[in-house]
Parts: sequence; C-alpha cells; structure tokens
Amino acid sequence: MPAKEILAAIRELEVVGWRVQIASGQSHAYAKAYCPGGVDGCPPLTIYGTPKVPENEAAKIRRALARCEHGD
Amino acid sequence: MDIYWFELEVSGPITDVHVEALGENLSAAGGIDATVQAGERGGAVMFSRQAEDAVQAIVSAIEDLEAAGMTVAGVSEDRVTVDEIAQRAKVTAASVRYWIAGERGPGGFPEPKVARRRASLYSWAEVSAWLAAAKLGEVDHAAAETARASALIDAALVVRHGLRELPKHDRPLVAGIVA
Repeated sequence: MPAKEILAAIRELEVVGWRVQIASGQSHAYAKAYCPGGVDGCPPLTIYGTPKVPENEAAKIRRALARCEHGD
Repeated sequence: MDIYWFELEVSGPITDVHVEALGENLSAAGGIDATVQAGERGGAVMFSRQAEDAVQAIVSAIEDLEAAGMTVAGVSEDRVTVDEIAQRAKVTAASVRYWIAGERGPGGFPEPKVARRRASLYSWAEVSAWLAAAKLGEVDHAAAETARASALIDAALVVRHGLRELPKHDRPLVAGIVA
C-alpha cells in the first residue's frame, strides 16, 4: 500500500472525476489514473507505489490534476 | 545536494512495459523519482531528482528514460500553475491572479510559458525571481539553474535529432559547431 501522502493525492483525483485503476499483480506501478476528458483528455498518469519521496510523488499527482483542463 | 524539478517530453507510444522498466531501473538505482504521464501519443515524465547540479540531474534522467526504451524529445524547466504559485508563495490563488493582472504588487509579473484556457504554465524560476524582487519571497536558485540547464539540453536534443536526419557527410559539419 502506498504512503498516506500518495493515497490522499489519489483521493483528490477521484473527487474531481478522474478514474483510478489499481494495477494488478506485482509491479512498481500502483495505479493508473485517467482524467475526465476521456480519449481527448490528458495522457494517463501512472502512479508508482514505492517512490523515493512520497511527498514528491504526491506533488506530481497534484501537478497533473492542476494542469488538467478537462471536466468541470 | 539540491533537488531539481523538471520534465522530459517523451514521444509515443509509451506502454506499461516502458513504465515498469523505468520503475525497475530507478528502484535498483536508489529510488523512484519520476512520474510518468504518457500514453499512445507520448507525454511527459516529471522528475524531482537530487543531484550535484541541474545538468547532471537532467542528463542522468534522459539516460534513465532511454534505458527503459523511451524516446526523449525535449526538456522543460519547473513550470507551475497559478494554484502551485499560490501554494509556494503561501498566498491565495486570488492574490496570484491580482499580481498577474497587475492590480496588486509591483507589476510586470512574468508571462506564462504556456498560455492555456484554465491552467497556464509559468516558469517557477521567473516567478520566484519576481517574488524576490517584490520582497514577497526568495529566489529559488535551483529552479534558476534548472531553467538554464533545461534550455541548453533541450537545444542539444534538437541538434541530436537533426543530426540523425542529415546526410552522413553533413553531420560532422554541424557536430563541429557544437563540439
């Protein structure tokens, strides 16, 4: 399970309509997140489960969210 | 050592195999400091890399992506939205919008590097310098260094790509200029 900072950032994505798909099996990627824009939206965001600095990974997730121009 | 924030533009398609290979390589080399936002049409990889200097941070990141099978097309310095500026400057987003509009502060707020409908992107190096000049913050020297290194290495990537397109007999002529 990723650090709480990452889980909190993922929840922020979900609140505004991003679809978060948890990866299956053993992999470095914990989840893949898709913005509300669908096929015309932002490229998918891969979230690593065990980054070096969880706070920095969370900041990058929030950066992707802040830059997204799709959805409400 | 400072942490350098920057992005590498990658050409598509970027698959789960690429992303997993990058995770594996970085994990083995001391930890994952990259976040991939890319798919069929390419995208970007965001880095927060600790290094001796910005050039070493960016060049090592390019090597990491290429080792994972990705094609690196460009480098961007640390670019931020209004919300991120507000967070870093410890003010509200509304205050930043006033600075941008010139309705508060000394005026002359940096122009966005990428103008967008809702989420324009500003150079954090330029914004932090503006904040320092306005006595509203401090210059982020690592960001300034990253901005300079990004411009140089981005140009180097253009040259590298261009050399591959040139006839073989012309390549040493151009390479000689930059060597």
